[in-house]
Amino acid sequence: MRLTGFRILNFRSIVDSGWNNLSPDNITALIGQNESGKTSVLEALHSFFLDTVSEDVLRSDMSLPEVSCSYQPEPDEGYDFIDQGSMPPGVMEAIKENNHIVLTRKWMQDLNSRITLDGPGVSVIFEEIDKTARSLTDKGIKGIDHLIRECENIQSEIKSTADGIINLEKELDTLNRQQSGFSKLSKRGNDREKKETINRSMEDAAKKIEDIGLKLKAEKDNLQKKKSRLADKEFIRGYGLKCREFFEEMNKTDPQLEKAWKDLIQIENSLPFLQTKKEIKAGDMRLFQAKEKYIMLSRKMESLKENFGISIRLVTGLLDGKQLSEAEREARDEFEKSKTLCSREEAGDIFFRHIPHYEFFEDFSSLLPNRIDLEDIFEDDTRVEGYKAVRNFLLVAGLEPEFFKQVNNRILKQKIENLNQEVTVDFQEYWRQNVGKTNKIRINFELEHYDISHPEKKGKPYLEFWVKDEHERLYPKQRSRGVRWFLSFYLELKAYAKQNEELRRVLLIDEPGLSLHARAQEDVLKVFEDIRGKIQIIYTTHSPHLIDINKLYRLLAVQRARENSEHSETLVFDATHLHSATSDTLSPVYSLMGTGLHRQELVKKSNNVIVEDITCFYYLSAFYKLIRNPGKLHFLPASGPARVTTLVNLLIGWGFDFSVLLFDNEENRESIRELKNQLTGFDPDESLSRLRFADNIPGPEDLFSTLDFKNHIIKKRIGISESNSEFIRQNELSRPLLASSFAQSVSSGILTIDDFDEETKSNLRELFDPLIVTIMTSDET
Amino acid sequence: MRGAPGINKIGKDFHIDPEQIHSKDIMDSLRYAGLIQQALLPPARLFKNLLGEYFVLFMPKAFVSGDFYWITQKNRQTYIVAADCTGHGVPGALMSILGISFLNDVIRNDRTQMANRILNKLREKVMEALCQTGEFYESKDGMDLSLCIINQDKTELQFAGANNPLYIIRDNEILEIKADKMPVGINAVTEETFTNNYFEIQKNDRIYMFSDGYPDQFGGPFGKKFKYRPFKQLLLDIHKSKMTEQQAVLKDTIETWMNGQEQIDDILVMGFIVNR
Repeated sequence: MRLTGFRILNFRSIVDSGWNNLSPDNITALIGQNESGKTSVLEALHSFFLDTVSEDVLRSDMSLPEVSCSYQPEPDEGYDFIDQGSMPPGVMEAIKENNHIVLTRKWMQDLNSRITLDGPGVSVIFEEIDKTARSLTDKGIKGIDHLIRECENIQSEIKSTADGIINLEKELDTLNRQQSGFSKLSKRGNDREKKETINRSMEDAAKKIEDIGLKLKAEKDNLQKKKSRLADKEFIRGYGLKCREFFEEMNKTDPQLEKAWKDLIQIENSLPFLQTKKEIKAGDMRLFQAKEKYIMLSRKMESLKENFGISIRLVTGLLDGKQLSEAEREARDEFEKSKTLCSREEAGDIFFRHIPHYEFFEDFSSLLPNRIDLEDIFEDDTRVEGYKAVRNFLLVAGLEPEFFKQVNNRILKQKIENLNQEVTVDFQEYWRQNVGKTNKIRINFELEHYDISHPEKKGKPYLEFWVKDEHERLYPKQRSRGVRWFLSFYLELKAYAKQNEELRRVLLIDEPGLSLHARAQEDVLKVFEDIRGKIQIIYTTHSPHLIDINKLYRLLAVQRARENSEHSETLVFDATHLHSATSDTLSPVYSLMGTGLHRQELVKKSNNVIVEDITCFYYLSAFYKLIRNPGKLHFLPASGPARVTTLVNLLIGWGFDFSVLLFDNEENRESIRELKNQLTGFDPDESLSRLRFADNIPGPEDLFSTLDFKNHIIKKRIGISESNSEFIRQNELSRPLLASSFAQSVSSGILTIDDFDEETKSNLRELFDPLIVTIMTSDET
Repeated sequence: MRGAPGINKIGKDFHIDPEQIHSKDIMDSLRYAGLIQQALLPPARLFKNLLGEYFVLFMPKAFVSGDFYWITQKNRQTYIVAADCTGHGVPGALMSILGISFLNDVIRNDRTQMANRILNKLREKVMEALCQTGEFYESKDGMDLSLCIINQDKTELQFAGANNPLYIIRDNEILEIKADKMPVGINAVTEETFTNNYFEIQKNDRIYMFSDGYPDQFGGPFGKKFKYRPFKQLLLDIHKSKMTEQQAVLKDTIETWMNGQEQIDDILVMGFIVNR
């Protein structure tokens, strides 16, 4: 997969970089002033890959960092590496529709992070799944709590009903005893009135006995029902209590697991600092114990998750009135199904395994040494001076340390000689720097053995390195730091590419070639071109020599939101918005424009047209190319209206033919007045006829119709009621950049005259026709 | 004269709760807004001076209208506009006021005297004022409009049209100069330059400019649109009459066609005779 873009939030000075696309040809340059935040972009990307941030990247408001990267599969790659059945329904479809994935790494308070699969269409699906899972847990736990309360209520009701029954039975007993008393009384004596009273009392009592009997029966039935209801509920409550137990245990284990992980990392990080054997042994033991603890807790957590996952579904099913067997079967099935689908984090981890590896090349401190003992190479002693550079050299040369174990010294020397030739030739493809007058450098190495002057190493083999030109054979340390830097850089990159032939890589390089001469910096760019097939390169630079003016799409401009304020947030502009960056940020590009012009040897004997600045130069050169006039015009940019006069004087002095073309604005009117004064001193008629003033057209941008200006220059659909040049001024867009980009589109044939409307064409005719007439006249003479 | 529309109908037209219409203030406001809009339209004497014999059939659907007409003279060229803004009623009227103001501004500052470039400029102003950048959630409001520029000798006519064509009747034949199929405002896909049509005109040519209100009006025995072909035929039938008579016939015809049915949009038809 290819890294196609990134977005960085809350990382050092970056609040939100917005989405920035990388160059499609794998070389992206970050330009900007010092302290603008260029290195922070590289660091953020590196942190995304490594999952490490230190506290000093946090912003003062303590908002947590977040880095997202988007990737696209290679044309022949697709998504076959993903077990598509493991993705929730719709996820792969959304990814394929967008043809890219987004991975987001978010750091938490403790600076641990998690990576998630993100991106349009995908996030919604995972959010829906999370919502469903949360609602299942919420619903289940609430249901269980409700059930527990319900059971308690029923138990209390049963108790109160049972008490009621006891009271009724007591009452009944009393009434029965009363009845029996009345019966005895009624059999005694003959007082009719008294007997009637007793009989009435007996009847009342009998009635009451009957009522209470009925009531008692009803209460007993009620009690039975409640008991049976309780039994049903208690059955579910049993599962519910177990489920709650899992839930609480999970909540308890989670922080323990988190702590165990942190302890493990802490112990692991502390190991390299242990020195004595005793300390190291104790450290290893602590690490072992921490791992054991972590593994134990992880397993416990896994088991708890499974138990909870099944039991919450089971309880929910039972609460919904399902039979135990049915609820149990459904719970297991559903859980198994959910287990096979990835969570957002798991999906993120799966894709993360297939992204390119990011490497940060900050410095190349390991410069090629004069010599190195073979023993140190065999023993991988990384502390030895220049070890890394030598290993890189051997790797590039295709040599394993075993190569030097060859017994026959003559054969070994011959092989080394052959290799020297090969490595040097390859290196020279990129190194165009002259050493001395005509020579170029070559690097050689030789196998030697220590003699008696090194008694402690006598007879031991070592490799000796030379950087040679035709006349001199010097040790690396006798060469300039620039040469050594480039050499090490070259070796590092080549070794890296060779070592990881099968892997896609992203190289993050901070200010490569700082100490190199301009031409050597251009050589660095050449190395980038060479390795960009498999390696994506993102580098920061201040140097115009590390930018290809014809490939401005490779640039990302980094600057502070408020100029000159190191406390203000960092903004990143991608290639399509470079014109919104400040001129300080774009200074390498502007320098390059100047440099490029210099090389074109613009001043010719005849048909020179002096224009006020570089913007006019780009537009007018491009326009002239568009109208395809056979006569040659050589546009010559002054460095501003005030400099036009200087240039005119220079050309007069040199005796070169020229015209001056100025647009109709206040500054130029001043220049025209000045020019007229000066030129009348020479040959008034001829000199003044050289001046051309584009009436009513304030700037070259105004030669476009508004529609063409929108379509081909600013590439936006917005209403513009002011003049094009005024629009650029009001919106603080970069004129030279817009002009250079337009000139590039014209020179590459992307734009032809047919792409412009009649208004633009007629403006161009009006401007160029008089100039063309001048050329024809001068050609005839 | 059409009677004042019912309260419910006004409510519908102006998106106002009919309950609120009972307020006399609102009714008065609308009526007054109509007067202001009327005042912004060019007076009859200006038409008379610049065109000679002419008519303007202007039938707003409500007190205020989204259709408007406009005429001016600059550098001895006569500019005539018939425009139809999106919507009718208050929204249409607001848009028409923007349109009149932009037209004034664009023509005052125009150096080219080319009809299509004027429409191009006008479109920029509308897009800018309504913040239109092509996003799906933005307003798609704009104007359909026809613009004629007639030279000093009345021998040449330039026409640029945004959706609305121009009819010229000569020797009992109707010639249609087609408009570009895009509005003065953001277009569906991309904006293109309007076409400038040059046409040599002759004495007694009858020229008609209009909005889509007339041909799109529902009515007749089957409640269908009036349509363009009958509209053309009607113009052909009446073109030899005096302009004021043509206006009366057009008005009677459409009112008969409506036959009590609701007017669905503002109606604007303008005609004039080329005289030298």
